[in-house]
Amino acid sequence: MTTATDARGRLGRRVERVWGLVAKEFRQVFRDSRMLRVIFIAPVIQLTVFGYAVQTDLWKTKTFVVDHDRTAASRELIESLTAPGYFDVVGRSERGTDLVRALERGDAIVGIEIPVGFARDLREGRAEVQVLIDGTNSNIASVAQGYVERIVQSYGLRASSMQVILPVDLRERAWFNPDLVSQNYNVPAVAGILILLVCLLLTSLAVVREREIGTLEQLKVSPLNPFELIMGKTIPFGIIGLIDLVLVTAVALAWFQVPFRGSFLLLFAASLLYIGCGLGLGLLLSTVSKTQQEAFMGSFLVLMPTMVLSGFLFPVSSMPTSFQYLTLLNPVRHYLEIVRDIFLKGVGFEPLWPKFVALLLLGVALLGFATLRFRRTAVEE
Amino acid sequence: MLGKLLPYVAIGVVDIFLVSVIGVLLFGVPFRGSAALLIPLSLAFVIGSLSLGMFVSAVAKNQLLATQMALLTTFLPAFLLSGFMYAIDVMPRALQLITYLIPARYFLVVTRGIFLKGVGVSVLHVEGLLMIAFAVVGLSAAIGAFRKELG
Repeated sequence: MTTATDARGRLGRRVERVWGLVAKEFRQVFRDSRMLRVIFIAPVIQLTVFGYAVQTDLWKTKTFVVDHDRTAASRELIESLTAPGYFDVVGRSERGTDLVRALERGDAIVGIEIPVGFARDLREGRAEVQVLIDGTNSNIASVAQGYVERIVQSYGLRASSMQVILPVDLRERAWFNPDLVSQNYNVPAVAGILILLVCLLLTSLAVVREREIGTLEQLKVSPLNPFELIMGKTIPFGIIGLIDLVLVTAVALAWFQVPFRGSFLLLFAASLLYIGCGLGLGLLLSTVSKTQQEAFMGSFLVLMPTMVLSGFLFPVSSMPTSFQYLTLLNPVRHYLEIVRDIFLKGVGFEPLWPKFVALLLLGVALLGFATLRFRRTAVEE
Repeated sequence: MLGKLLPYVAIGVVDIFLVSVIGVLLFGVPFRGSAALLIPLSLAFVIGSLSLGMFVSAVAKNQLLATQMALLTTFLPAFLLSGFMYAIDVMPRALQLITYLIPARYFLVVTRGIFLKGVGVSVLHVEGLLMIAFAVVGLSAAIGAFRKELG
């Protein structure tokens, strides 16, 4: 009996100590109105702005036309390219050299040259059209290439007098995002990255700041052990992270009208684990850094690979195999996959559980390392 | 102010040189244009970016806020609003105007132009001049903010 009450008493004191630290961190954050803006307003503004930027859909691609034929047929071809809105004619000329210059200067991304006799050749079923595409941005180039190919082919089929029977009738349908709106895919991902950014901003300087202003010494002589200290730092920032999650999700749903087909509870659970990873990463950075500047540089160094190797900008499946394995260590990769699946596919826990486990393991490992690391520096000094 | 700036300018230009060499040697990225043109344009880019950092540094009250603002104003915008991943032409008009505040926007045109297209001053002078303008405006804003802080 007495040992049980003792244990409860110890636990109570422990909770009390951690709570004291939590309250202190909250006071520190809420005292500073600029800090509040950085934490709560900035992610909302950023998502609103970036949400418009993250579209890979082809729209009004700048196109330069050199029409040597100048017939009804050649005009129709151009019309069939521009009518759906994918291409926008920004210049016309009689000379091929102007087309080259437009591509060089970046005034146009696509150049179309229609040779003399196009209309005549079309009737005979052997017409040629030259399409030049600025390949410097290979993403845009390959999308544009696909569109041009399809439109020109289908125009050719319609316009030629010959009856062509296609051996295979291709019927495509995109599932989960039928209109292929790239924003639907990217806005939730940007939200995820913003959450990580906030987590790193909050924690990467959290320990090292105390070290620099000397309050770490006070914390060390206090009865807080490293685990309690890390908890005291994690809980308040975790709550802030969750508030941010609600805010950015609201922007994605209400402003960008991204469809949400899954369960909010599942999203919340995944975000909790993900925020744990983000905070663990930040705290680890903070404990290994000697100065705030070092911690800051550290977060920059960490952010770059976590973003590039997350599948946010470049699909993981097109990376070299060794890098694909490397991405398994990246919490952002798992979280983005979960978020995209919950938002667009509405899948449940069953197909996602390996990713949840991965997030859990990474979070425990990161927070654990941060605690260990903190204990070691505490002993060293 | 200049004394603070110069060492970082040197570091930035050396970094650009290093990554260019790696890009060409390791990844076999073609380099069709003139290296002599890349150097002054890199210089303009580095000074512009640094002046943005100096401005943030002078405006922010403390180091914590300065670093947070720097991270927020540079990291994601450089990825998402520079034309690196997403075409600027497709963005809404208002957002296109914001991209002019991102120094990487100009430099991307320059590097892609020099590396891949092999174009010269006749094409890249627009971006070059814009970067110089950016650097001048950025530096004077930073100096102004710095003076206010001192005085």
